[in-house]
Amino acid sequence: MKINAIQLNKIISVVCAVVIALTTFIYSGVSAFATLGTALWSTWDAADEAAQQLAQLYHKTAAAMDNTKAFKQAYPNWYDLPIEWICSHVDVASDIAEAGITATYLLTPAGDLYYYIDDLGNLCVYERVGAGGEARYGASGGGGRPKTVDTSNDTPIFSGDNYADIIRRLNDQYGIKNAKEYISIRTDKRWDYSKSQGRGPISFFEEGEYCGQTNWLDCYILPFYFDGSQYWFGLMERYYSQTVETDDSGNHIYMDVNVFSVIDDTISYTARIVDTDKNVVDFANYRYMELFCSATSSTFLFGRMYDTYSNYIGKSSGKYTYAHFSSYDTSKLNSLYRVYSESCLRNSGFDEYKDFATVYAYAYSNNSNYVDGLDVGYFISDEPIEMGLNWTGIDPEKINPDTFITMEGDTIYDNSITNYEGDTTTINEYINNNYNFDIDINIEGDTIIDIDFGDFLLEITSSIETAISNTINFFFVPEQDVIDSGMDKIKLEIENKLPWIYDIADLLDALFYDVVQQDKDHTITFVPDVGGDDFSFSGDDGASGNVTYIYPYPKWTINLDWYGHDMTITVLDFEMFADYLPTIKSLILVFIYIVYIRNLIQYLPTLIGNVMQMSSSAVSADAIYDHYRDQAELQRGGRV
Amino acid sequence: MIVETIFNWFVNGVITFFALLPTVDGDVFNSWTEIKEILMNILQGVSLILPIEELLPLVAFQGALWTFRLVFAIILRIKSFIPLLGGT
Repeated sequence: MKINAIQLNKIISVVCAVVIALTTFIYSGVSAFATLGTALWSTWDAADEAAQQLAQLYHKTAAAMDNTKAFKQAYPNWYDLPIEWICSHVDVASDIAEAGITATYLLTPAGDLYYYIDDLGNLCVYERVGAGGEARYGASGGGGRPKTVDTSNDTPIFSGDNYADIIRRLNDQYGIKNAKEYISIRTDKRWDYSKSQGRGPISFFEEGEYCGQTNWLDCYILPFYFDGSQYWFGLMERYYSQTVETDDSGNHIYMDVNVFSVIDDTISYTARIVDTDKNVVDFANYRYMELFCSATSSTFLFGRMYDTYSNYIGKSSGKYTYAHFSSYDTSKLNSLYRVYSESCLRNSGFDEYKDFATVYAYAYSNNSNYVDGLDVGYFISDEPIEMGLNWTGIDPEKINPDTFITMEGDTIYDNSITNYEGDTTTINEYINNNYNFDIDINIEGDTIIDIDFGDFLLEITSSIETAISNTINFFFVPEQDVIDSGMDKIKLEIENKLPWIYDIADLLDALFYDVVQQDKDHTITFVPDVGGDDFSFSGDDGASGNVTYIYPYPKWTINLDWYGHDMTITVLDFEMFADYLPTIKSLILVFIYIVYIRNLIQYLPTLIGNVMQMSSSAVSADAIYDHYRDQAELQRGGRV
Repeated sequence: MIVETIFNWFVNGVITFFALLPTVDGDVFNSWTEIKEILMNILQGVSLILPIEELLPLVAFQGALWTFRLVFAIILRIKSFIPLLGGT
């Protein structure tokens, strides 16, 4: 079969159509899958530069807003922002494009709220309005149009679910404020190493130093339990040495332990490390000790100490110790551990209920049997470990995801939360009200309702006043965004219809071409045939040097394309007058002003006369009487 | 709300008006770029002789004067309809 040229074209067209269709289909499929994913990238390092710039600008702008201390605490750096907030322009609904947004990446800290960088480099926000045109957050312009973010009027807004993520992350990262070290059984390699050596997770006491740190006089250890979403703490242990001088046998070093609650800071036990025979251990001789934390009916803090490094490494000739509390009531302390741990575990909703200490010991002995997401470990410091921002009082699981939060205030508890009905309260009140907006009023006993009539009237009148003010604003005060949007539409339409409109502006600009032109870059861009004067300068930035002032001169030329040759025909050339141009210009200026002022003086009396006439032309009663008298006289045939 | 609606009417009117216009492309001139360059060259030459920028105050003043005369004429016309305030 022979194929002619027309058939070949058709075949090629069909093949091209199929390829394009397939490409489009595959591309849209990829986009759809990308949308289904949680994030475009897993880390900020992997993200596109444009996405990083957007996050940086958003963070910088939000941090510059008034009263956003809580935001800055939540996100000290731009790369602390969740990368899941970045979405691609092509992945979101078509209304983004309809709103005139062409940015490649958008940032969504709340559903239907999109931040992006416009063509001018400004951070803008667009809020997708509901079916009824309602703008829920009130973040963007009226009617859901994009607007530039204003640091003086705007505040960071997050959806309830994103806010819950913030709380979870803060609990993870900032629950502890000042710990020097964080050792997790799941992630810390030192633990694995120590465990492989059959010893405790930390180099607790070596060569008279705590935790491998020189000059640590105290060592605070805060064991934690992580339930997969939150950290839980019970009791903190403080180890410190007491040096006792004796005349007969030199110095003795005794290690004391304090145990106290990090929750209420009230329960404190003090003990001295003793051996299994309850003899006080002299750490001047035993300079190495590995620490175990466990909880059994008899001991919960115990370790094994060694006299030499080789024995310490070789785990030989060790001597068991435990904390010898003054009350000898270790079971009571043990139960305290259990009380705190139980309450923690219950609050965490951890189904597989376990004793904190049991989990701890169990996990330590064999972490392969771990439940996913669980973790235990230590926070270590040489000073009392403080609970960070104390934001653990919020249960992120109870925050309604259909709310949104304005992150404004000194602490996270000051943030305001708003639901779909428009009810707003602070996070603190929200928590106090059991994560509910409804406020229950309980009147117990005989409650006398005392109404101050004056206040009542004042409240009514002020309410009416506010309502009227709001109504006037609503009906009669236009939103600036509406005006801007309208003017932008007109501008766009003019540009579409008259694409050369800016050429007119160029021509008008040409009329303001200055006779004296300073070359700021020290390179001559406009080169007339005459020289200028050298002028020395010194700038604010310390720069100094000479700049040549150029005196261009009028020179009318016509550039032609003459059969492929560029030609320039000079019609008029005023080079000979170039040096005198400033003088000529000044003379022309003075002349025009003189002529204008002369004409104005000539015209002013007429103008002033007209004004005077207007002000004095009111007719007096006598004049009216004379007027009608004359009219009557004329009608009678008389003469006036 | 009301003002915004009126403003949007105005905007829509302007846009409708522009939409009715044919699109005037710069390509109607065969060599508009060259023509523009020549025009700019001439206007630049004019600006080197005439102190346009320095004459702007005169233009502004003249504009203010025209505006005043217009407003003044309107006031006079309105006044002429009011009894006892003169007919001029």
